Amino acid sequence: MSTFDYAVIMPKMSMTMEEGELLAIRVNVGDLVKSGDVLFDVATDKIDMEVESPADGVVKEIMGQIGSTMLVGAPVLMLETTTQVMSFDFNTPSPVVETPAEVSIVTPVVIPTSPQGSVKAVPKARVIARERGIDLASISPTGPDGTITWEDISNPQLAGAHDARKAANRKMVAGAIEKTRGIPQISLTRFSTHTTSGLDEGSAHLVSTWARILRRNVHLNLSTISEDLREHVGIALIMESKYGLAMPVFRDPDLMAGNDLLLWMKKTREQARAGKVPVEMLTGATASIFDLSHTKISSAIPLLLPSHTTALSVGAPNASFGHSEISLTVDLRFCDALEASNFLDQLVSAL
Amino acid sequence: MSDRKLTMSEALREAMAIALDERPEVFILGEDIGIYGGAFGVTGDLYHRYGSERVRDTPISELGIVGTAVGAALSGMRPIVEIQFSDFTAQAMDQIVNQAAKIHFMVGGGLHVPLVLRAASGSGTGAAGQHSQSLEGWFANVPGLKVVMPSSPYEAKGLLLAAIDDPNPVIFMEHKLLYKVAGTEDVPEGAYRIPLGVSRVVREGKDLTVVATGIMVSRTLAAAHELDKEGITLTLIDPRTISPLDMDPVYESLEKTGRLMVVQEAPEHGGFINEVIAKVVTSTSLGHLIAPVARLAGMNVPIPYAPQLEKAAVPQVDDIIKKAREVVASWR
Repeated sequence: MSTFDYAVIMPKMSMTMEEGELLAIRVNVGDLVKSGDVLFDVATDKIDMEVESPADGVVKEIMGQIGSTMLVGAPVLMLETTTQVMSFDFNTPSPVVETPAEVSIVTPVVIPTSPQGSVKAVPKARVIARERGIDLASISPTGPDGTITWEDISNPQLAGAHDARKAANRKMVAGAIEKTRGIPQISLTRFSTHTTSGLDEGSAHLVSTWARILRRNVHLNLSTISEDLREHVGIALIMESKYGLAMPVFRDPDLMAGNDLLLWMKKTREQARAGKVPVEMLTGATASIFDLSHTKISSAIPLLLPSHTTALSVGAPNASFGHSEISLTVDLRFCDALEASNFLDQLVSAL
Repeated sequence: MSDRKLTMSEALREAMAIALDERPEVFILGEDIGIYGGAFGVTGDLYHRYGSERVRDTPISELGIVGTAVGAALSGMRPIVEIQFSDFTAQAMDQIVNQAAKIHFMVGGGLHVPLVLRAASGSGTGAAGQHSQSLEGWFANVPGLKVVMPSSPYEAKGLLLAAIDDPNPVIFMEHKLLYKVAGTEDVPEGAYRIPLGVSRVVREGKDLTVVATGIMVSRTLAAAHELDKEGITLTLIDPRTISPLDMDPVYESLEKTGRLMVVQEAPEHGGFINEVIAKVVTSTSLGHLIAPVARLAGMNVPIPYAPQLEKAAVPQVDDIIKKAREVVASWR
């Protein structure tokens, strides 16, 4: 069987991405890797992600330096594989992404799904994995009988990668908020007596209801970059992630069957918690929702993110009166305060 | 005299002499412990020094000996029973388990049974299956009994004096092969007590925590000296009393080494040493383990008569070296 050398490169994770920081390399020269094994971690000002092996093979050479900033397309490591790996032209937008002016994500990798079956690891390795938020399935075992040893998980590169990703995530969110600081905006709050069900049920209902309202009021669903009307409604829902916060984007949730949306919501929350938001859910948001219904926080001022026209937050129900506070922030260039209050009313009555 | 390297027999005899001097209610009873000086020579000249009232030869009836001792203990005496071979405690089991261990509880704490039962335990003397067993686990499974396993002359003297002081029945398991071996530590001439229920950290290392009892303590120590040369260092913990059992030093040590090995002569199946493993894996200490627990114990067979087989049936120094090396090398 003939083998191919395949360079795994710094991926282009958004249209505007030109370079990325190599946070960590998870493999060594000579390592046998399987398709889907994490090879290295990359951070940009927009997103950070694990880059996985596109095929089964052997790591032949490592060119990238941890901590260095590399241009998109620069080879990070060389893989020797028997599989012909598809290459991508990074200058052509991916057909799956319809957003005109925002980002397209093209990488020759597959975002991992939850590992199947149990992983063998010594108890201390499990403790460390839990403390540092390391996915045991991503570790190559060197112990007897394919068991992950203490040494396997004590690799300082691994510990560093998690902290680096957390910091990069924080920096990314803070940077995004900073960019919207100059935008004229107003935040309105009103009470709602809607009842909330489970965490995912509540979020799914909220996401689809707000998407329906945005779809009816197209000027609220503008791209703030090009002022074109959006062809889709994308709701970024703020969720907990092992790297801090994640904002997976639900595209057109109002066009989905309720049950499908609920399943999607549950799955996404699990993925977000594991720090593995599917790549197609990282972009395309036109609005954001911060659902605090299942916390003890009664309200939060929603902050606009770049390219979003509205931001919504829903607080926890008041223990005595049962009502919740819903807050809406709008970009005043596209919507005035009176209109905003009207939309908020629409939302409350729809809920 | 500063140099006092006694054998365990001598150290035990000193302890009993001190107890006989200190307390008029102390007396010793057993088979051939008088004029003969004991099957393994432990009582030695005590008969001549203290007379036949306080060092009493008995007929060959373990049930009678222990029954007499339980009665005496209830009446305010402090008997020390010697059983020639611990295997013969089977004859006296009703008095030990149903009487000595229970009476205090049956009368609402109103009575005590301050009884010490010393018994010669273990294999290695070519005495075959009925005279070579390690039965400490039986007694550790009976609430109301304390079980002591001295590992050296120094330990034996201090632990026996503490056992005699104890108001409850104490089973004192002495390994036969240790009787005639001089210890490495000096044994102080006067009285000293080693409290029951406090484990001893014999030595400290970084790679492996070994819990061993009785004769396995000195075997593990010999193994440790060999392993030192290979750069493998181990912590050795001697529980001294397997009931009550002091686990704290084990937990503390595992935080450093992450690897546990347990060693006993008694058969593996249902053996006491499994309790050490159970305590580790049912506590948060489990989270410190970086290797599966290694277990070295006697084979699940009656001790054979043939010397080669007798040796092969229980852990020897080489077995300990091999197992320790394997655990440390495989689990990093």
